Amino acid sequence: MTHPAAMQADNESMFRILHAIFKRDLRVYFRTRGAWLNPLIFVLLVITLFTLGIGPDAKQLASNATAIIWVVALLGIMLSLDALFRSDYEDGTLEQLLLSPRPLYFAIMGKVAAHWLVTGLPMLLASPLFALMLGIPISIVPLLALGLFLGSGILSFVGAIGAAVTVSLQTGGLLIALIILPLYVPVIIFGAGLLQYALEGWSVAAPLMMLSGLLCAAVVLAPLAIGAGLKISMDS
Amino acid sequence: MYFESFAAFWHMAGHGSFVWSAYGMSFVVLGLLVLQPLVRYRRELGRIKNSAVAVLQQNATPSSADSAQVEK
Amino acid sequence: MANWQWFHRLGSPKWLLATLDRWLPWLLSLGLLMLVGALAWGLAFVPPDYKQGNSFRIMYIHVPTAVVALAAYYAMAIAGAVAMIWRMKVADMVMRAIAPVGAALTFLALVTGAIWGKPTWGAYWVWQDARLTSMLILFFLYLGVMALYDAYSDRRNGNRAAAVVALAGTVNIPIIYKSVDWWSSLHQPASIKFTEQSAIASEMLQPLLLAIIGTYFVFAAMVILQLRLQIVLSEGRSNWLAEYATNKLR
Repeated sequence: MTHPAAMQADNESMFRILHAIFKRDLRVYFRTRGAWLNPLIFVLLVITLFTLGIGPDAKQLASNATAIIWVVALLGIMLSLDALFRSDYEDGTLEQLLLSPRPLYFAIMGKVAAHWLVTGLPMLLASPLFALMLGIPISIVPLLALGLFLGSGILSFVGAIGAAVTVSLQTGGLLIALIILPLYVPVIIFGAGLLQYALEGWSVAAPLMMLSGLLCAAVVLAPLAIGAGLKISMDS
Repeated sequence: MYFESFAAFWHMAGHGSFVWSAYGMSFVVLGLLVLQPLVRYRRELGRIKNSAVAVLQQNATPSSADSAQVEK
Repeated sequence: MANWQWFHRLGSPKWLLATLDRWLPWLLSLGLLMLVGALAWGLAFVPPDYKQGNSFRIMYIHVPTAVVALAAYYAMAIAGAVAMIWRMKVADMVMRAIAPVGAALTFLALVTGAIWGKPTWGAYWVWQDARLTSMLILFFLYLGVMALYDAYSDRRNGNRAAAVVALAGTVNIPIIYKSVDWWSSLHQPASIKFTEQSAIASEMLQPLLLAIIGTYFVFAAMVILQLRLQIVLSEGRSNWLAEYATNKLR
């Protein structure tokens, strides 16, 4: 039977490892500008490409804008996922993490949460710019920001599953895409639906709640699959 | 039988092309699903048998050096 | 106590291969008999639908393949889970056996669904049909699992990775279906209902049920065909297999 004091210590160590990994990864990300800057530049570039492709007709752009912003954000985050575990895998940090007595579940949670913050926060802050480029009305922007923030969390956690099982492979981002894009479908449906409902003036409660619910489920369940995937990759 | 003749059955009151292309596609795919593993299984089994037979033959024929030593 | 010997015997590829060889002809013939019988019944001995005419007969091949394709994904994920939990090689082989069959059935469901859609809705593909769109995503889920275990050079780790992804997929399938369902109701004009089906008459239903059962049997037979192949590919260098091959191909 675990002594109450030891149980207290257990709880502390859970959050301690989460916090430690979270802070460490954030520090690494801030030192490498590419980690948070590249997805953002990618999104801006692709939006520009879409605009150039669709043409100067503002109405055409506006009708597709809700889909474009989500697909582009989704692709940007997916591309950044390949690197999530790779550097740790290569320099042995991942092995240390898997062998340590600290709970892997919370270490993973901290790691992916750091990735979410680093990729999601710039998108949240840049959402007025996206709205401007795509002709989305300014009144929608707060909802767009919120939706992108919640959605990017789901995309990070679910996508990390794909990253975990492919980290030992040389195949690159295409295999990750094939694995996780079907799992991304609900995010794009509710994310774009959120924007469309807002534009029509309907209540956004339903898609917003679904996004929040999916985020909670992803945060709690994904680390289990991610942990299993990392162990498999380590064995390879 | 809800069709007066085979021609009517084939024609399906105008929907024949849809019905028969759907069923035709299904039979092709199901047929492939049965044939492909069957053919490959038989081929692999044959390959294993051949290599096993070759190994047996190799072990059965003694080399001249061995038989010379036994005689000594 | 329950006798778990059968379960552990199941784990022996040698015993399994011999048993599968015995069951296969029965399962395949029984399944084909039921399926072909049901299809003939549905094609010729059921009155045409008053709304859709004769094109509704595609239902007798579309619905069974769709049902079995979905069930197969769950079976595949369960096989993968069994392999991981009990470290059963054979369960991994079952997972790899189900994957191509399930993917092909999903493909078939999509194609027959699209062909059925043309006379019914006027278009080969209607995104608003939640079931058809979910089936497309199911197809991609299958492809992802297969691509993953193919990408691994180490067979065992590839199987484990595929099992993890397959399990993640099973959790997502209901979510995906519900989200597509919600999405399809977004811009649907009230007068046309794509996904609602009127109550099906019993004389139309009976051949459908027989077709579904027959398809399950045929599916089992096709999985067995793939499983035999997987056993041979996986156990290629073992002695028992060399002996078996020599005896079988006498």
